[in-house]
Amino acid sequence: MRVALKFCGGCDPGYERGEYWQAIARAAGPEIEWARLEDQGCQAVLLICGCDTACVEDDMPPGLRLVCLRNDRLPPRVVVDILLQRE
Amino acid sequence: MKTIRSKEDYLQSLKELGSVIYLNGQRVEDITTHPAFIPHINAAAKTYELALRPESEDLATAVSHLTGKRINRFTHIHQSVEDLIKKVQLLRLIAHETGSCFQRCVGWDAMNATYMTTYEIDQKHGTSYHARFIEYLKRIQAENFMLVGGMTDPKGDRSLPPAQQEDLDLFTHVVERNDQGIVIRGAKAHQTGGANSHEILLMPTQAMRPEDADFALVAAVPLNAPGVVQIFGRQTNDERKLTGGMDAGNPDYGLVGGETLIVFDNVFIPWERVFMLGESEFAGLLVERFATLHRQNYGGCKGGVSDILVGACALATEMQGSAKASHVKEKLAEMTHLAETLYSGSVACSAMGSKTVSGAYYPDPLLANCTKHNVTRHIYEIARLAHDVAGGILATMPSEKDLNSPEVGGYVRKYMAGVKGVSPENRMRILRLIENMTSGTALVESMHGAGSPQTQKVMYGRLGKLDMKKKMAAKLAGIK
Repeated sequence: MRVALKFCGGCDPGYERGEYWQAIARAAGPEIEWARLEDQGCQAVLLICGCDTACVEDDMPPGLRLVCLRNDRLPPRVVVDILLQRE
Repeated sequence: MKTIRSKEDYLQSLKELGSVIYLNGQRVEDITTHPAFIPHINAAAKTYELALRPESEDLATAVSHLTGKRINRFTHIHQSVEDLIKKVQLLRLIAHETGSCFQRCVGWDAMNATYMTTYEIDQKHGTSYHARFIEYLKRIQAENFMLVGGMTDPKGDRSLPPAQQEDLDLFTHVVERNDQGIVIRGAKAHQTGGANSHEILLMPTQAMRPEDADFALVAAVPLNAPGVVQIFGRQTNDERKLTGGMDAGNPDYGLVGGETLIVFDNVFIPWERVFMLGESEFAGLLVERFATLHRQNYGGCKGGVSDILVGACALATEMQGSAKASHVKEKLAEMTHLAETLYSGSVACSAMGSKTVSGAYYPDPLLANCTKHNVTRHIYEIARLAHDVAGGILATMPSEKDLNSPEVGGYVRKYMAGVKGVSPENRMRILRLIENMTSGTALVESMHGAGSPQTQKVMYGRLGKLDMKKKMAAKLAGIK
């Protein structure tokens, strides 16, 4: 599955967003191909926001399924399952 | 100039620029390898690095309204309230990365103020400054070079206007006009990031009268132009930068911006780089706009720097075993409250921003001035609380050389011990960071950067709607 990865700008994040994504990527392994938001052929967007405001959430493209994270409480494997719609 | 994308590009561009810079009476040939300049260059380089990082690109880049291309946000003209808010968020983010001043906001604010004001000058006078400035702006956005905003003239006798100074050069002014351009003389003081910027955007320092027309000047000058000389200012404990290491406190990013006195000794400027000359009635408006845009920033960057200081104090108290004391918790809470209050002001003046006739967005000036005014107070209080919880050791601690000395290092480690398991070296590192962030120059910058407190109070008189407040009070009191 091809997933577009997008971070909020990170003005005052409550956790290490980059490290959290790396853990998610490790949990996903080859099941997810990561792409940029402007790339074609994505089935979903993983938006990693640093706080509850999630200020870029409204800017996401409407045609793609959006998974928006506001904290790092979900185990990475669970995030992968949500992206792959296995929940 | 080649487009600057990375930190490496930025360093190479500064080497090639070869600006004339003096430190302690000596010419510095290459600031990129000189320890007095490296921390400030590292801090400014963050504005390039973060634009390339996926985790920060949403704040650190924007889409140009001129070309539709993605650009570094520090070269962007604000197109919405959202842009104004993202500016403040970006400043907080970079402050988290550097714990210091990253300097590039000054030029950014100068560009936005000039963009708005040249549009209105052209509307009134039929000049073509705005079109000229747009061409210059396209170059800034394409090449991504660093601009310093040059506003503050030395000003000499403050009781006299520019044209009545005994030495006219105390205000930057035009001394010659010809077919090709103009020649200027004067200086700009306190130029944050001047040493490691590529160009300066000169602006008038205050409102001007018609007889001060030669001083009502907006123009861009490359900092390697013949006749431009920079003299780097001293800072508290600045010799610690020369040896680096823990005694420098924040060895990678230094202490506030690094300022120069920039002298213009008969410097030629071609007409295509002149964006205002003689329209003295617009000088005050331009100054007010630059000041508002710059005062908008301070809750972002100083709020972010204060976040680091709160964290440093929390770590120091944990290392010293005082973290659980109720008064320490209360003081850390107060520091957090003050830092978030600063940030709130910057977000508020951005959220209440409005569109100028040029199309560029502008923060609410009253709220922006209140924000900066709070910085002149709260940063001192945050620093006072930091000194309180860190303890007197902040001012009396031995040096890194003592720590590593074969003769006395053992004593330093023994008597700098805190909670069991905490290394004395780490305790000393965090205390040095607190010392760095709360020492003289850092505080004075909070007081006078973006204008001294009195300049903010002047704005309250103009913008505070006192007549309306009197009417509201009179109505409630039943006064006819």
